[in-house]
Amino acid sequence: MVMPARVYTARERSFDRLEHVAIAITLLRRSPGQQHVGILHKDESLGEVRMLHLLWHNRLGNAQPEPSYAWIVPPIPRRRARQVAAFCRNVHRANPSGIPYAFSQASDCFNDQTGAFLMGTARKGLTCATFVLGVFHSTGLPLIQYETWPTSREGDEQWQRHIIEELKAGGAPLQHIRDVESEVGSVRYRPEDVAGAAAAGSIPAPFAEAYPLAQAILARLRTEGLST
Amino acid sequence: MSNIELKPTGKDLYRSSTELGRHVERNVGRVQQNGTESYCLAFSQARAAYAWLFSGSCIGRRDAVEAEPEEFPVAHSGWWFEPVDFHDYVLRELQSPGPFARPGRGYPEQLERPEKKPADFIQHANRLDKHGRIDAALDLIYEKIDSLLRGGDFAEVDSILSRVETKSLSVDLLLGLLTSTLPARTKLPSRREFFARVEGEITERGELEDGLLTGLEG
Repeated sequence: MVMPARVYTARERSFDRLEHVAIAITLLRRSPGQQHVGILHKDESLGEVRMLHLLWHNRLGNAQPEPSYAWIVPPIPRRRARQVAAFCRNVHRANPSGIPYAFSQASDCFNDQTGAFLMGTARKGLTCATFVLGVFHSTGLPLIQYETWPTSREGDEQWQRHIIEELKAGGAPLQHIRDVESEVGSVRYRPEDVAGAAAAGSIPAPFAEAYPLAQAILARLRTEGLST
Repeated sequence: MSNIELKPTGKDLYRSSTELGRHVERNVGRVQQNGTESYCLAFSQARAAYAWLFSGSCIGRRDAVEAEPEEFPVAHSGWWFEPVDFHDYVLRELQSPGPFARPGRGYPEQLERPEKKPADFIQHANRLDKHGRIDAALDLIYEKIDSLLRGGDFAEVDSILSRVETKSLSVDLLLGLLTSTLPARTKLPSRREFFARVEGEITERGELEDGLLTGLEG
């Protein structure tokens, strides 16, 4: 098993020691086999670490992180990491109504015709993982080499259909359900993929490098009993 | 400095920072104060307003709040509103009487509709940066650029990039301008030249580290 670098638990290295930005990941107790990922970011003037993450449809969280998350420092220059943190704060301010949950790709989060961030209403929506990818992509620091990601991995379409049922059960608008259904079959970037890419030697990371790191991080989460 | 008194000079003014703070909390909810030494306020053009909290004369922290500018007609002989941009003000401790300071006159009329000078925010960000408030300075840049881009004002953003004097700004602020404008790069013809100037400036300062500008070229 590959031992990823720059991966910490809150127990061994508290969030306070975060310099500017990191990826945070944990296991979901209520959904075995599922993970959740977000971005830790620090406002130096506050000395406070927050976790920006897409919790669910139109629910964008930005609270102090729970210690059940492991965190990974991506291989980017310190000054660029500060910019990502600033970008996170702006995304939070600019999306008070949250961001829709769907399976859109992360690489085009900005509409150059209208100037609108597609993290807003014009985009169908993102998952917790593509939200993280989108933030880094928008700051010129794509975490992964998109073209290397496999399509139709086992369980992906099943997961996407499960999400649609959850959206229906949660009362999401019919039009949004239709939009999301049209995206079934699109490439799925899993939370652990994002974490694995952040643990790579450099970014953007190809699937072949990120995947084993992702598996090592998952193994560590299980060993440490990190879940929420 | 604690609980600085805000003398009542007209309606809707507040007798103390504590009273002001209570009003803000009551009306806008999630405003956090640093004891009694933190104050707000700044307003955005959008309906969402942001509170800028001060510790002493320095900006301490900022939280998003929902409010209307009209809710905050606060003035005091020891404090004044400094226009940052159209409808944007910061409350500053009055070190010496400024052009808008009008002790005892309440909310200065001149500040209700200051002349719009979008690039002023760059100067203000630069002042914050020079006072060590790097993240507050970046927040200002990201928010203003985002606001202009969302409004489709690409020409104004492009004009700003063409006019920015790279020598006067820190590397962090230069990176902030490059990063915040990256998503709209195809709409900003001056950005490529701006990138080249930034690259040259950082190189000249000897601060061009590996990967610092990667992905920002556009």
